[in-house]
Amino acid sequence: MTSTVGVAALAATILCGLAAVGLRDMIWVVSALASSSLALAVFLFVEGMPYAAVFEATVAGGLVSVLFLLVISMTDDDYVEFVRGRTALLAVGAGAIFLGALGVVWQGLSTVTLSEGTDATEPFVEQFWAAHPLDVLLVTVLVFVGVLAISRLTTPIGPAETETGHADDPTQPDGVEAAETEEIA
Amino acid sequence: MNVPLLAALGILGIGFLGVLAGRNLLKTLVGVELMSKAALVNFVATDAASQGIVVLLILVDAIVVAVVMAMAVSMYRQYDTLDLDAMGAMTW
Repeated sequence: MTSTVGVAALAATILCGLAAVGLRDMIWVVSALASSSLALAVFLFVEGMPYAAVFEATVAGGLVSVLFLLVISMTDDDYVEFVRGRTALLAVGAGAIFLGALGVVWQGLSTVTLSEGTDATEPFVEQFWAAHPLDVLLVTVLVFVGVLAISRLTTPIGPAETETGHADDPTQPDGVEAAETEEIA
Repeated sequence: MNVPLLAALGILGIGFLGVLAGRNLLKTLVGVELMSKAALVNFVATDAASQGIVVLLILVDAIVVAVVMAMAVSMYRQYDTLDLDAMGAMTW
């Protein structure tokens, strides 16, 4: 049973998370995210996890915020825009579908049981997490980082095309194009 | 009524909305961070003895943030912006 302080800390986490998503000035966004981490640290402490609370406050609330501020200062991109119009409606709809599907999957997994070699009365979720907690976590993180990396590596180079009218050929050394122009002349 | 599970679902939804609605790469990363916090709350709500894995999750999350930050700086040097729409990729 969660105590009143724990519920208040969770409410503060949600409110600060909302502010982090809704604000446009990145300095305030980072401040709201750090506040959310601190509120979550209070929740962890109340729930009897002091080491996790310290890690959440120092690493997530401190180190990650410093990393954000460092990148903001390096990029000078500290005022953000949101998607608008049809895309914003699609975002809200996709979020609602995602949460609904998550709830359906959760309920479904709670009723499924493994048949062979296991206790049939124990739900699938409990058996699965009892056997593979670390595997599932690390594979999830690995898949996430992999998707981001592949998306980045397969991104076409856009600004070079817009500035010069054509993409620079990376296989041609500098000066080759100018030499060919002189030969034609 | 399990309050931490409901809170985890709420934070997950907020983070997912942040990922979808943000045009800035750093703002998208903030959404991912919130989704990670939702997973953390879910761990606490479902298993009170999972302090070790919660600490591990926090550390792995910090590593992911550092990697994506490095990618963000690299993208900024290449495109001179962090606006995903302007880059024309990683958007929908």
